Amino acid sequence: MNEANGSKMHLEFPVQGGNFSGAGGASSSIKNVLKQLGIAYDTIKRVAIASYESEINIVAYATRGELLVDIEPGEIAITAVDIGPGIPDIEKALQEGYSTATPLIREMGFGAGLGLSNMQKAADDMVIESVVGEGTTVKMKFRLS
Amino acid sequence: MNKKELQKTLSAETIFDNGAEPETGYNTVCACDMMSELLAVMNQTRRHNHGIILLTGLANPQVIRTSELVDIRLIVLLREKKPTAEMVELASKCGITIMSTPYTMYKSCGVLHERKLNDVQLETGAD
Repeated sequence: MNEANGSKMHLEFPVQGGNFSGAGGASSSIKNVLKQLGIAYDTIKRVAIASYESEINIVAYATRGELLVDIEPGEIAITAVDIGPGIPDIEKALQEGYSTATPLIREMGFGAGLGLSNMQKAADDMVIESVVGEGTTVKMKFRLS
Repeated sequence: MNKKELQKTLSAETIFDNGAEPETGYNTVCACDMMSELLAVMNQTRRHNHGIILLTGLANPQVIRTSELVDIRLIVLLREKKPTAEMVELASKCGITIMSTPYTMYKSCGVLHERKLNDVQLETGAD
């Protein structure tokens, strides 16, 4: 569902858990929308990196999820919501090098324990909420200069 | 350096050609097998990445997708690795050139360094 209301825009992209071949498709679409809107190169890159890592996390760990994009004057918000195992220890998960990745995820070039850290560095603000056995929500904000 | 020079330098085969050359030529090299590491490096740059050559031993669709998302337009697969049909199709959609070299990561980096290509410039100034 895409909604545009004045200078605000809301986009939703479903992401299927386990769909490695399609991983990154939603982030590619988000990047293309931002390019069409004339958003600055550096911001597009930061959003693309963060949304892609989020998407990979959903594909790798969750049953299903979605990326929600809210574009407003001065700010872009990306929210990655998933139904999945959740994160037992968020502080530990944020440590670079810590990973619970399977061999399959590593074969794809991920699972180095950099995903959440990359997302945190790319975003201006990031909040993680997770319930073990239910799922995880990661809210990221990017200021527009 | 243009694609023809790169192909010669690395004794490479071009699997898919995007039909374009960056205005700057290819002047920078990023050598990486982990895509999260590539994203971490690209997150530390503030320049356009069209002149970057990605050297990687990883041959799967995520290499193409990751490159697309950080605006890398040329990938060289090492040790004669060949892309899958799915990779070539995605590269075609994304406008990304794929080459395959018989060289290892070390030798590829060495010959490109000899040709004065640059490392990725990180915002921290580390080198």
